[in-house]
Amino acid sequence: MNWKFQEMKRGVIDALPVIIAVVAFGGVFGAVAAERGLPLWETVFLTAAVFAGASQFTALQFWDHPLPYVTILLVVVAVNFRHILYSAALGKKLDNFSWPAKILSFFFVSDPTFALAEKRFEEGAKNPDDVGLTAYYFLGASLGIYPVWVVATTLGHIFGGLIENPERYGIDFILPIYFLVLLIGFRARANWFWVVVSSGTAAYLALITLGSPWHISIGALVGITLGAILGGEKEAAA
Amino acid sequence: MSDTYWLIIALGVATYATRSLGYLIVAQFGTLHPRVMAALDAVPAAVITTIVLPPVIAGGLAEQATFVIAVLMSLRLSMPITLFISIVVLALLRAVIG
Repeated sequence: MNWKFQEMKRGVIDALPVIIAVVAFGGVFGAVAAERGLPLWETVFLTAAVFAGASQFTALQFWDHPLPYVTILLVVVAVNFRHILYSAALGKKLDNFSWPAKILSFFFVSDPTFALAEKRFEEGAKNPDDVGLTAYYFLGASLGIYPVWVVATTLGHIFGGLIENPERYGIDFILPIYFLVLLIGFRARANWFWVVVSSGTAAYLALITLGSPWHISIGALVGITLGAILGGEKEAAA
Repeated sequence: MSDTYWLIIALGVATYATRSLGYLIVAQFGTLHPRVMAALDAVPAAVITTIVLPPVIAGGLAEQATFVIAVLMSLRLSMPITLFISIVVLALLRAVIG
């Protein structure tokens, strides 16, 4: 097997927990959209065009006719603001991607695919024989998740939630634990501990005062700012 | 085409913009200032923390115990094994302590 296929396969395998969780998560989105009165085709089109679950759930809260277009657009951008940070962080890490591959890959930038890309880049940087982060890996992970997300949403809309009582099997916690483990996986990075503590504290304060989804952007900006301050000082001292 | 479809197209385009904008800005610069590098380096930890926080603080005893166990396991074990054991532990804990 050639390395391109190997990397695609590796991407799919690394994304497997997300793919499983997305069956439940997409199914719930479809079911909630149906409850909110969205026709099937609008639901499928929304899920296929946006591919960002948290922002889609937020949009549904405002989905009453006549549609408040501007409000929905603003909340979706607010919830997806973190993607700007993700794509900026990948700014110097996509050198192995052709431009068509980049244009396609941007569409799939999400919490799990970004975290996997950062991790794969880190591994590549450690070993000169490793191909590192390539479009094959990134698109392998993305194309493992995306069709499942769209199909699960569709089935959820038609049949209601796909899995009765996901809590009983712990399925509702696959994603939180997955992200927690990914977070621990970045602990070798400079000032990781203080970035986590500051971002967590700011996110907590934002959550209890302003509420979701503001905790994401506020927590992220505080953590990143601290990372810049501490990191910059270390460089200056070196 | 109805207005709803135009709204969905706008949401898709706006979301795509958030996914490409950061890259397009950073890629303009040849070398980055150390502070900017440090900031970008902090993005995964800073953002993922905010995503994990709500389920961690909302969880009951079973969930919070599972999070602690998952963190400890992840120091030694691979992702699939950590995840699998964590989910089993959570299901058991929920069955036992509710």
